[in-house]
Amino acid sequence: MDASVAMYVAQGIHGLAYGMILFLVASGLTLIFGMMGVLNLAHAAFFMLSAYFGYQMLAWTGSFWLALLVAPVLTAVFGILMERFLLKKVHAFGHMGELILTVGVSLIVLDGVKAVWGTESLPLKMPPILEGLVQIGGMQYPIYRLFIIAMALMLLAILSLVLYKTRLGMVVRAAVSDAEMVNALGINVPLVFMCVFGVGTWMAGVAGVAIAPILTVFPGLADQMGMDAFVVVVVGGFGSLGGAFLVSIIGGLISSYGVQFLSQYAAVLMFVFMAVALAIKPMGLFGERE
Amino acid sequence: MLLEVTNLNTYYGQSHALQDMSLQVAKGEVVALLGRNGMGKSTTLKSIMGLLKPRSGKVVFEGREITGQAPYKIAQAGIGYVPEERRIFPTLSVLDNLMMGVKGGKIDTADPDAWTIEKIFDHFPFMKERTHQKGAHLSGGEQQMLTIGRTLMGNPKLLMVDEPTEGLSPIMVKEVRDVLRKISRSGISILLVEHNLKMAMSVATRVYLMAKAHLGYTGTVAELAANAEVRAKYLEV
Amino acid sequence: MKTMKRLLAVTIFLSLMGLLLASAVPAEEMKPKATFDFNKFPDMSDFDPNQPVEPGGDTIKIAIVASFSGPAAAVGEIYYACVAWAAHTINKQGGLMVDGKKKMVQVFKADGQSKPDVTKKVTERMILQENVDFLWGTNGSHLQKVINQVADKYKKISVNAASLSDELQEGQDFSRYSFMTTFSTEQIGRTAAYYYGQVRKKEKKFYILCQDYLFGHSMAEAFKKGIKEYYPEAEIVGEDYHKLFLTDFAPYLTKIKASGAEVVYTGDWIPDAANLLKQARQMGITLPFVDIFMNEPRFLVEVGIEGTKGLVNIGQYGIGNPAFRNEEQIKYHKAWQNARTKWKAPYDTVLYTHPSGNIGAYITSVYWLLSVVERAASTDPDKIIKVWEDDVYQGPSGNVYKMRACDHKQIGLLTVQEYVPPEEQKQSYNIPPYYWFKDCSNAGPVHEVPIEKNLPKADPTLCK
Repeated sequence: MDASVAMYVAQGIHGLAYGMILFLVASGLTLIFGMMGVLNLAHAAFFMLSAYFGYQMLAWTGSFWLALLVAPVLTAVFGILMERFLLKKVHAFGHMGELILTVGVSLIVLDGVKAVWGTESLPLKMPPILEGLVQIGGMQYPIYRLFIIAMALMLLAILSLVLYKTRLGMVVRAAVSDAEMVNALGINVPLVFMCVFGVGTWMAGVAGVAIAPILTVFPGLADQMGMDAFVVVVVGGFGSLGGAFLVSIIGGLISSYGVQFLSQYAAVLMFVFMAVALAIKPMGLFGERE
Repeated sequence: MLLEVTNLNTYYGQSHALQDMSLQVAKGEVVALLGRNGMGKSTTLKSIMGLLKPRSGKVVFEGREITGQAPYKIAQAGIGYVPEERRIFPTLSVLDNLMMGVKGGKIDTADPDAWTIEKIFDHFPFMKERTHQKGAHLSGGEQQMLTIGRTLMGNPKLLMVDEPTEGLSPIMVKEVRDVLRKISRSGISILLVEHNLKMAMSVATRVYLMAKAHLGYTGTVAELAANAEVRAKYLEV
Repeated sequence: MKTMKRLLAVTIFLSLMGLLLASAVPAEEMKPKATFDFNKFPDMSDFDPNQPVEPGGDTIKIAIVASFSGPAAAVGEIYYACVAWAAHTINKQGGLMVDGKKKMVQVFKADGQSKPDVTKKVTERMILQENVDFLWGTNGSHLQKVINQVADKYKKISVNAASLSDELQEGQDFSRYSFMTTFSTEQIGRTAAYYYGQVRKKEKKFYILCQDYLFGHSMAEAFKKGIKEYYPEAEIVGEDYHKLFLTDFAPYLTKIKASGAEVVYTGDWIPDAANLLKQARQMGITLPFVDIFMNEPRFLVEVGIEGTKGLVNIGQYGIGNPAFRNEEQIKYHKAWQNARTKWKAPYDTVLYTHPSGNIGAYITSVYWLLSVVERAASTDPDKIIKVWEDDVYQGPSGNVYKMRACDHKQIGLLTVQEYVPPEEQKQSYNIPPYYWFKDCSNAGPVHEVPIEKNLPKADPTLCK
């Protein structure tokens, strides 16, 4: 592969890797909003919390894989607790109440991680088996980023399978359209909400642990990711998993090719994309719900 | 008595939308709830179904109190709800819409009276060709049939139907009427909210008339047919 | 004829002597007016930043205005340890004679939360309610600017020990009450260029990657200016500005790799600096970075010895090799390390191993301030200004700093440190265990850049 082609291919893979992480975070957010109408601003905070749990698990057990397995589950439990004991109470006060509550939770999580782990950047080391580079057609690429892409694709496949081939998935899809009707048909919708909240938070948790070895674990982790994930949800359409996936990939590619070709505008490109997409389709590319 | 509603009071914020509403449905009956727009008919059904929480009053179904419970629990107890605006699931296929109505996801093959997909197709033949089409692609009348079929799949003992003929052509209105008659004959009790008086009186045996959030009049269909004064007071524009 | 020859010989001889003398005297008069007194250095084994001893009564009050909460709370944490250490040094000696009384030094924390409006409020509170004598701050020039403005309004001395922007002491922003006790952006850029062009003379292709805001752009401009001056044969093969707190550096690194760059120049601070280096090494990019903030030990240790080898760090604390030139310096260094054995979190990390580098610079700035106070025998701002302008102070590292009178910028030696594996760090860390850190590369060869080659930028409206 000649050098400039190699560079463009590398940028493409970078974009995919970042897009996948973004998708993992945004998918939970869009399902939660699509189905429950809850704009969960604590979602990014959970993404960060999981990275901290991962750091701690790694510190205690020395196993990255254990951290990847356990930390997201722990985070999902927190998410479910928030949904069960806090969000439900506030439901009567409408979207504004839910928004304020999730903002409050995110602030508590932020202060919590600082209280427990301090404010410095913490390292989360990747497992030796994923370190290093691999040759792809004359170009070297970090194995870990390829692992991220592969893992996210696998999760997407599993999620799609569940969503489109199981009854639970069908119930979720119906609830995204009309949760009240699903309730009236005799299905325990509060339980379904809890499941979706749990799974959505879990996905964000996986993203948090997955991205940590590339970055450092620090209290600002939530900010950037939260912003990008929100854009993905808005542009992809609330409740649309496919939309979230497509926009995440586009977003990732825009960000890496943006740096390559239009680096002065790289930061702004995502918002330009958002403005254009929404001008054409105000409900989001695949939006079903207001 | 299958369903007994006593002195139900429901509020929309400060607005007292349902005042001391009472009604009854006996097993096997078809009862109509009539009145002008905005009188509280839909509010009554929603209050029974738990979609709105009544502030006071009682709803007793099959001898058990179900006032203000979660809608899914009330549905599981045996009340089926067919809402105004149909509310079929637009992204799901016709078949999936129907399956959504099946309680627990599994059709009871042991019970000969249980509703099955085949039975639904018998009642609504057009669905046979459309099983995999998305709900959003159906016409208004077809969606109305679908939403009825979907609720039937849950084997309700009492079917509460809200304005099923809204926006339908006269032919479709006749079809709805026939379907409701068939359902009644199969043993399911029906509480029907309608503003199409003619259609309602051709399927129901008793009526309740509502005026401004409370009950105004109750009697048999025959009594209502003979009483022009009452009809004028509560029904005509 | 013979007399003529003799006259000529003497004239030539005298001229040569004159030239020699002229070149021997530096352009800047850097003879210290005061030095850090090792003889008076007390027993500091009782110093614990987690359990500071607050002096009572009438005190000399220093308020640290910085982030003590929020994502940058670690910054305030570090500052506090440094300022408190310096204060404790003086307090253990009995304090300073000020306005006829012996006064100790009291340190306040004012949390600006990294926000300009909050910074303004807390600075005002420190001045108006706590009656502090000195304000001491912080990184983030937008924050330091606010502190300087408030201090100027109330005629209080503000010490900028951590914000590198030249603009703070220029034009309308200049205040006679503000003193910059840190190196500045233009100095740094020119130092880097001088080092590569006049000292190392090897690599020619440079890539500039900085943060996309005023500071990052200033750092880049300074380097480009320096290249023109000291290394015109060099080539800038790429220039990019990335957003702050960037998650994924991979696209930039791919560009850098493809550009053929031999060195990457960056002004990035943590966490960007850490992420940039980590991701570069993860991607197999082994290029050296010339930097000011890739010296934070925690993440250096995380990247490891191989990955940190070849980094080039520009600093203002040390004076070249070896680091320890006499017993007193060793004693001072060890005093910190001994006290540290008792410290608990967050001060028990590898970050606080040595009282040098950034930590050393912050400590020295307070020692300098207090030396000025001592000689002024007062906390009265006008007296302070009189002593501090044109003052020359030698700190515990041996480095000599001058406070330029016209714009209150610090003139001092800058060093360029090449990072090498632990076994080669002995040339710098010349006492047992003969390395700065055993788990990462750190200073080995250290080059001094002559002061005249990188004087701080001078605003012509202030400095004629």
